[in-house]
Amino acid sequence: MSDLRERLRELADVVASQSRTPGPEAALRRARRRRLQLAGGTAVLLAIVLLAVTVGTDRLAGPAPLAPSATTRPARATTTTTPPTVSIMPDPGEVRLPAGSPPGPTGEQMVHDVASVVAECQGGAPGEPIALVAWGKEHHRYWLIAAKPPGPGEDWLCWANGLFEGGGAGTVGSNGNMPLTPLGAGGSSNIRVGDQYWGQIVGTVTKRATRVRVLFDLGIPPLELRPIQAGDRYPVNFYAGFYRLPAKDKRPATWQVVRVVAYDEAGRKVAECQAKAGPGHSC
Amino acid sequence: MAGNGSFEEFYSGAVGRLVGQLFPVTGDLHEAEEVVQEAFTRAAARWPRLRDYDVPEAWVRRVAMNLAADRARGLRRQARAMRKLRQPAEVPGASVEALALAEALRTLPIRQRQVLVLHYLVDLPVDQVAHTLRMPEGTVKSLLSRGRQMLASKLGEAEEVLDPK
Repeated sequence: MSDLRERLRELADVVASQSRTPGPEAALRRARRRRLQLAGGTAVLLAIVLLAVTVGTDRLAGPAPLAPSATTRPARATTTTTPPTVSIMPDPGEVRLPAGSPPGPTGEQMVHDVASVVAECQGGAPGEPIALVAWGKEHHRYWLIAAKPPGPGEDWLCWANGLFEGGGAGTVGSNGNMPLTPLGAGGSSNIRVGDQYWGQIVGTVTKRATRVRVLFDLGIPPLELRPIQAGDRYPVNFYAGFYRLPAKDKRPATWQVVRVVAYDEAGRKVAECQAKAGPGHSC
Repeated sequence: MAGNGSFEEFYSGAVGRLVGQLFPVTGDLHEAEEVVQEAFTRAAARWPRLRDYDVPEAWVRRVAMNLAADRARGLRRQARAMRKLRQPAEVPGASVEALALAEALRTLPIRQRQVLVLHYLVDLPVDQVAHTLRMPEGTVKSLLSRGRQMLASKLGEAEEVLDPK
């Protein structure tokens, strides 16, 4: 009578010889299709960035630009809805994890997905790796912010924000094709957790700010957020937060954010942006 | 080790072996192929980084094992597991003893199947099994012990026959 090891091997060998998998091309095709879905999701956020800059240049008052006046900007947007010429996401290379990372292989996958989107952005200091600046878990969702320090003369910042379910499904927003402003915001709505709905706001803010206040309509209480310290290599800090939404049938299909204001240590307003009506969520 | 080889080479060299390893866990050839294919899809998206791993196959195996566990839980929720359990394992060419083992394995909890396969088929030591499945070593030892006992009981054999020292 053979032992367990031998019987398992026999079984595995027979199965291996009979297995009919579709081949490596199928796996590559599926990976490419998912990448396209990801690019489609980020295209929406690209529209947000475009709107943010349009609004920001008109409405932001007070603070001087965060970076020197533009020299050269990327020749193309960081995301596209057209099929890419490569079949897999770009390799982000080493990803620094100063704040750790979500746990397990799924967490690694989230980091890789967000960093890969940053890697697509043209720019960044040569030789400096992408970093996962911050991450957190709220309302059964993981949020991540990854960025690449800007290169000399760049007035934009390559960064991406991801929002994932525990199993790893999610979306990644790409940012970095426009000059930085003192305060930028984007976000997601209709994040459903059980019977409740949540919205997320995420953006960049001048380093002079020590507090970010988000104002909403529909009677949603204001949100007070502390900027996430990105470190010396980044010209701005980040912020992120969640807010509870009324049930879907009790609110219009618009962004609930009305205004975002940044304050310094002394309580002085240092930046402000007004949400703009129209497609996408931007400020 | 994949070194700087292509994804296609890595896939071709590992896919059969991995399906063979996942079959005793899923108890279903189609399920085993599905989870392995999905794991390879995820590997394809990360290949520029994965190819530098010492053993990229271990990464794919771990993902496939997790997917198999997720699916098993989903099946249980949908009350489809019982229907599947009644279906005999279909592996033409396997010996009667191997088929009996496959049938017996299908009655064990998924975690027990995983540790038995990783330890006895993949030949991983207990600490590596624990690392792969992210569980304490004590839990692995306990699952191995109970798994052997249950298999011996199902197969009507002494435990020592299954695990001769």
